[in-house]
Order: sequence, then structure tokens, then C-alpha cells
Amino acid sequence: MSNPVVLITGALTGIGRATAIAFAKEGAGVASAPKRRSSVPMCAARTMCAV
Amino acid sequence: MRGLIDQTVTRFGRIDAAVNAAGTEGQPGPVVDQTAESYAATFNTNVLGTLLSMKHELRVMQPQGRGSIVNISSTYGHEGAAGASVYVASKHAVEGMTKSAALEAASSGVRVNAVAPGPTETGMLNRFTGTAERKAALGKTVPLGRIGDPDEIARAAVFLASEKASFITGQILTADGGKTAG
Repeated sequence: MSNPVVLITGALTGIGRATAIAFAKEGAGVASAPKRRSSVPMCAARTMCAV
Repeated sequence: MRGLIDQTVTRFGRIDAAVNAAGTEGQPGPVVDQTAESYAATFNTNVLGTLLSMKHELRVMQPQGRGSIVNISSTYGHEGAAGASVYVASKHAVEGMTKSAALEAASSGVRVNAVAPGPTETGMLNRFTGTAERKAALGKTVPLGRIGDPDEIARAAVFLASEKASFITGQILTADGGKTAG
């Protein structure tokens, strides 16, 4: 499927962040669930950021 | 979690894959130093968090008749580690839930797997090891001779989430440079 929609928890740091980047490079729409509201959510094309 | 998932469906119309990567090392230390509080702090994120994430992801994916969930476990999800009993227990739970959810979701065409990373270059590993020297020493215990990069774990998760893994469900893919092969 092109442009998969992917939801990632823990996407602000570490493995979750690397996973979000890896999916975004493949054109995925990424919905991230940051753990800390004070942190800046990572946004990219077709990335959904929930803070 | 429910709100995020509902927002995602509203905006994109579906969820094709989910990676549950939120986790904590808790308060590492020997069993004799553990408390109900240290247990709860670790299990709330690693076990309850993964459980509720899967619950709401499956709520969307099962009616879709397709979808792929990838949980992030650890090599400690299938081996013990001195000084990390609660974290180890929580990751064993993640692997048990992964396999059980896979069996429940299979008839809906939804796959559930996990990636079990070995030592990986993250803030968690820095907190676990404490010093650069101890981290370097840990890297030398890995057969490939180094700590893993987060992108190397991410690529395993992307694979399991993708159609390339269409016949794989209920599995734990260990990405640890060979550390648990011996």
C-alpha cells in the first residue's frame, strides 16, 4: 500500500523516534503520541502530531 | 490513546500499522530494593501502556480486516538480567501479550509481532550503563562488536509492519548483533 498510515507511541525519543523517521522516509503518515507535553513533537510530511 | 487513534482515523481514514515504542527502564536495581511503586512505574508504561495501545489499535484494525502491530520488546523480554528484574518482567509480559494478541487477531487478518532490541544507542541505554566506559564494555560483548543504532531497530519494525512480513505473526524478531545467539 502506498502512503501507509502508521501510529507510533514513544515517538519523541530513541527507537520510537527512529521508527517515525524510517516510516516518514517511506512516505507514511505518522501519528505520534508524545509522552511529554512540553517536548516539541516531530512533524513531517503527512505526519500527525498529537500533543 | 483512544483520542489519538480516533483523531488518526478521522484524519487519515484508517490505520495500516502501529508501533508501540513507548517504554521506560523504570528504576533498575536488585530485587531487594524494588517496591510496589517501582513496579507500578515500570509496568504502567511498558505493560498497561502496550495493552491499552493494542486494545485501541485492534478496535480499528479488526473491522478493517487488515493491519499490523509491532511492539517494542527487548532481549530482556526473553532472558533474565541481574539488576533489572522489573524491566525484564515487563518485557516478558510484552512478548506474552504480543503472542496472545496475534492469536486473537489472526482471523481478522491483523498481524501482531514484536522487535526485541539488544543494546541500542538511546538515552535509556545511557541511563542503564551510567558511564561511557561501561557502555563501551557492553558494546564489546556484542558479537558484531558494537552497540546498535536506533535506525537498525526501526528498520526491523518497518519490515514487520509491512506487507513484506505478510505471513509473519506472533513472532519476536530479535535485533541484537548476535548477543543472544550463544
